[in-house]
Amino acid sequence: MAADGLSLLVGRGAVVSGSGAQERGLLGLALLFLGLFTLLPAVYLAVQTGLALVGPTREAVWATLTSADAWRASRHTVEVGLGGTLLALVYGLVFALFVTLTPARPRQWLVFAFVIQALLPPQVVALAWTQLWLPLKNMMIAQGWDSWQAISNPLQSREGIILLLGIHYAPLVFLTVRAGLLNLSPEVIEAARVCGASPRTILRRVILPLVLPSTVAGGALAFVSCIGNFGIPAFLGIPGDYLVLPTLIYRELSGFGPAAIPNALVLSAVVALLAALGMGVQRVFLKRGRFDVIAARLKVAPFDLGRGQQPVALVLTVWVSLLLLAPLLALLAKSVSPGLGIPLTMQNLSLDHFSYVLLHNDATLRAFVNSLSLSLGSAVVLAVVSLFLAYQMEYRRSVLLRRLMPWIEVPYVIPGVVLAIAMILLYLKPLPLLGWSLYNTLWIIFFAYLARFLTIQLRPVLSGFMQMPRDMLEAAEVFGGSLLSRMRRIIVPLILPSVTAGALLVMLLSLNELTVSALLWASGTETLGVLVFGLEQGGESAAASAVGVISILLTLICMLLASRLGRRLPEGVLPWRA
Amino acid sequence: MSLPHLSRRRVLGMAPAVGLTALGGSLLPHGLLHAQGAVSGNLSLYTSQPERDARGTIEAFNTLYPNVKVNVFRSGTTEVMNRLRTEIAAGSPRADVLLIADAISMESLKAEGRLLRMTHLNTQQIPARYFDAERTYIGTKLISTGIVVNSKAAFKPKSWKELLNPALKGQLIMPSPLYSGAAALTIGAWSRAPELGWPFIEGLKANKMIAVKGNGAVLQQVATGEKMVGVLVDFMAFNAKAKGSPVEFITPKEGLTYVTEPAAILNTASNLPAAQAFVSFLVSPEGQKFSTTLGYFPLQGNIPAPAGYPKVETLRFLPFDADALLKGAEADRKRFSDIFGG
Repeated sequence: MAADGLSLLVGRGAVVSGSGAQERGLLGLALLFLGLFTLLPAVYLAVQTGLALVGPTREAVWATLTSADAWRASRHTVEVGLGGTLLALVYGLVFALFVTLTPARPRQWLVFAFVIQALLPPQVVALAWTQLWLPLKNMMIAQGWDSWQAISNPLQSREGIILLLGIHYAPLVFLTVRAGLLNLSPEVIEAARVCGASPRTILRRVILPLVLPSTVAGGALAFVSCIGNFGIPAFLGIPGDYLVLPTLIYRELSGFGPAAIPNALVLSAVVALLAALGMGVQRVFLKRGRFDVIAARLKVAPFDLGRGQQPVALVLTVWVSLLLLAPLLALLAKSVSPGLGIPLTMQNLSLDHFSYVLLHNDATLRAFVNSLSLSLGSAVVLAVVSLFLAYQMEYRRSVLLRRLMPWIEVPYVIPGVVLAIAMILLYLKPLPLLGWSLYNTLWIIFFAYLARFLTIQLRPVLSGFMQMPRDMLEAAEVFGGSLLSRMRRIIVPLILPSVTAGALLVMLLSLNELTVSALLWASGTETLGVLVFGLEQGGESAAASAVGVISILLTLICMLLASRLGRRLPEGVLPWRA
Repeated sequence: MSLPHLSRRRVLGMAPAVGLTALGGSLLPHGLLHAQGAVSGNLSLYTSQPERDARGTIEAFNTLYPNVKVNVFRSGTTEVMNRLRTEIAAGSPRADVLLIADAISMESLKAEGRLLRMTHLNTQQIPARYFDAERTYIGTKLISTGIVVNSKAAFKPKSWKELLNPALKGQLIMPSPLYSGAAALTIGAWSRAPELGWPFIEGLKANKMIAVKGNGAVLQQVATGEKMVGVLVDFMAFNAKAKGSPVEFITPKEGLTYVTEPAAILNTASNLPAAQAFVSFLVSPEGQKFSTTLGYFPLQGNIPAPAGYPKVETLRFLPFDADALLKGAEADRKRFSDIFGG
């Protein structure tokens, strides 16, 4: 089947055009969406950057661009970008292979504990992890190792940043690879087996090549996420004097007056450029081959590690549980602590912080409602849009859309604060013709999220399309199915795991988003990220932890509800359901 | 130390001896009470006050001016200024009143001609060094920066200079002036003090001090014992101590540094009466007394400091030339970032 798909691909341009009007209309809508929500801020920023480079600010801007700080930060960005990506790739891939291809137990918990890492706000995770260092240090000092007092937290270093980035973004790789693996045909593995291939050979020669598109897509996502991340390097890098571009940009904006906006734009362009390089690597990889697979889903785990199965499963279970529970417990302990530095006992634990954030702060409830609506809204809208865009890009091979692809990355890779500035400049004034302004409403944050997270949703869907049996789609088209009915009957059922994997990522990322909304919120449109940031910054880290604990509980409830509702959905639609 | 300390005693001496009730009477004549109800509409406040404080301040203001609806944008000074600057760049600043940590950002706005001269203010009770001579911005409270130590610390420094003691190597933490306004003024004052200067700041780096993003992180690490000694704003240390955290606040021998959390009205303000009422409230005896309940030192000497705080008379300040400091702030930050990096 795969070979048939490949041979059909040779005749690229010769696609039978079916119900053209409907399709053209939908293409128009998708393009309109892309233009208004994603390209407008990206192009606007590019124009502003160009102006900054040639306008009256050019001398200062060039000086910044060629300064030692900028070079150092760029080098650091590449280091943590590559390091974090490599870690996320290896960790995410190995985990996905183990959980999907072998009868791993307890699979449900393994997947859940692994995936939820991406949901924890990076700055909270960094905080929780740094706290784990303290008991260790105190223990060593109590043993008489006084010299330990002067040792700084080892996580506040390049390696610490890479470690946390890798753990944090491995679920991006995991989710896309797992969606790819679940689309893997059992027949292919069976065929290889019948031909006498060993499991190792099957893995190397059959499975890995087949999940290459989703692996590379996941790795690319992890790379752009690592170089754009602010929370982790801000927490671990600033004390360790290890600046990356996002923290350098933030520092420029906070430290050096109005003149810093052109500098910030130009430095953001460097981040975007690095991201584009990463994307280029992905393209080179994917040019090597296309693999279409009929999507009879993998039902049973085809492999078994034999005697190694149980021990490996045990080690992995302990490992992911530890990685998840250690920071969570640190967070929980903090949220019930009577005060900083007071040893927590059963007698003195205090619910004051919970009662403050829940009962005495009406912003908390609003923030939950706002963040939930924003994340659900962005996930649903982007899921629908990504289907039509991916259809045009992959099935119709729209050259225009493919050319536009790098621009779609821009709003995601640039620091959130720069995107927020662009949104303010674009939407502060009342909209032309309509006469009202989006500024100070929830809509401006919503639009910013649509721009920022499109690439997160689109990448898994694109790689899903790459695996789709093209002949099946073409047959449907030849027999006159309209685009909408083909979507409903063929494309969506086949691609749903990829779509939900993307939508879940969008939801998780927007639920805890901080850097964009920190500039765009107003009275009544608070977000969770803003609430936690505000409390943390005012020295109320216990109250901030309480909000963190509540939001994680809330997410758990949402995931459970989705699992309940999702029982009737096909396998693999909810990525954490094994 | 050749320069005289600006002591609290002197501040008291500068204040005319007017009783509180008499002052209240002079500020609020009968006619004004009527006017309070007349001030109404929406007021847009941009502030870097902590969440809880901003909420409380607005509530206190609303008990006097119930018809004003205050819409607040609250974030770090950096975010507040970024948002305001972007609005200005787009041609329509939305803030009426600005209430942020330090005077440095206020100076840049003043230089751009963005601030209104607040000729309506009654500044009788407020020492002149707490407000701009042209009255474009005015301090609202006194936030001093000193040394915070963990109670378990083996060595407790008594002066800024003692932070250079090798016994503290690797145990020091401070907020970075690149993110914190209070810290920016602190390094400005340090670098201009004859007995400290830039060699002192370079010595801190050599003693392995780390600079973190904010005061909250400093408190966190000192209270938990991860670092033993830090540079911190007073109210965070006192509030934590009141809750039982093992921290002590030390006034360094050379003197504290301070910021005044200034308030200003933008000259593009859309609701001028409400904006003026709000700033007047902040510096009025009522507003000052309210801010002591949040744990801040008042600017007016005749209002007592919060319970458990050192007597205001005992506060000593590191002397500095405010004008030179504000004008040199950017260069100071650059130099600091050259020494400390991040």
